[in-house]
Amino acid sequence: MPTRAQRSRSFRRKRVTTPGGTVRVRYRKKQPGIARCAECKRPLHGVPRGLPSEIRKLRKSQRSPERPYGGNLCAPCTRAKVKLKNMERWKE
Amino acid sequence: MIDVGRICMKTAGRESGKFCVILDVLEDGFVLVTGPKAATTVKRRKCSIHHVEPTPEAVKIKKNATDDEVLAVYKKDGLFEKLGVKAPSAKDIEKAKDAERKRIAGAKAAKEKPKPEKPAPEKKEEPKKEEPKEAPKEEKPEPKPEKKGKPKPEKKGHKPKERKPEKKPAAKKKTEKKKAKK
Repeated sequence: MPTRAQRSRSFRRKRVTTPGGTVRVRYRKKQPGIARCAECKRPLHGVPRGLPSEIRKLRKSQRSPERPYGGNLCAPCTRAKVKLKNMERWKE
Repeated sequence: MIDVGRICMKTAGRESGKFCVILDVLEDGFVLVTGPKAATTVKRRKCSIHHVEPTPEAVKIKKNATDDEVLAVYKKDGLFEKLGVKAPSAKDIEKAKDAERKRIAGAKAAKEKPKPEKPAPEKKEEPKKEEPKEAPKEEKPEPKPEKKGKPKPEKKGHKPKERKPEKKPAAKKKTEKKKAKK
């Protein structure tokens, strides 16, 4: 039997054939989804995929791009947004 | 729109969303640009035209003007207020200058260091290295074929041999025990 905590569905179940030939169920924490752009929903580059505890161990510069909106918007969307802001600023 | 003295907004990279001035228009769609760094954190650098968005503001500067000259012109025209940027204090300007000096000194040191180091050790070590190099080369090939030859057959032979006998006696023991119980 797995431990009490492992019976919840927040764990991923994987069947593994052991060297002895029997099939056993191994439990692992589910991996979070890929980071996506908030506007175009395309997957983001430069944002690692891992549990929060794993990401905390990385350097700050390795967690997300260092540009404004880094880790939230993709590069082309950021450029479009910055251009729009520039346009709006000088209209007034 | 893109000419010397034009104030632009950078749109790409970590400096995106920040203002800069064009100092020079280079070939192949590139531009020399500066914040200056003390004012808007945009470093003096070469930059693609596609990464720069022009604004209606412009300043009268010489081609390739220094950062100090640009700051003086900003003060005259009141550009700090127009751009919404803090006017840098004397400390900030010195900090930016020190950082550049260090960077240039570091780059120079990195270039100069390897040149004197490389020729010196080569001359000294060459005669010494030749003797030990030759000796181990002759020794090494002898043990290698022995090692390579031996482990491969061992591994191939061992794995099946070890596994099979383990299972069989275990199965036999169970049956024996059952028989004994009966």
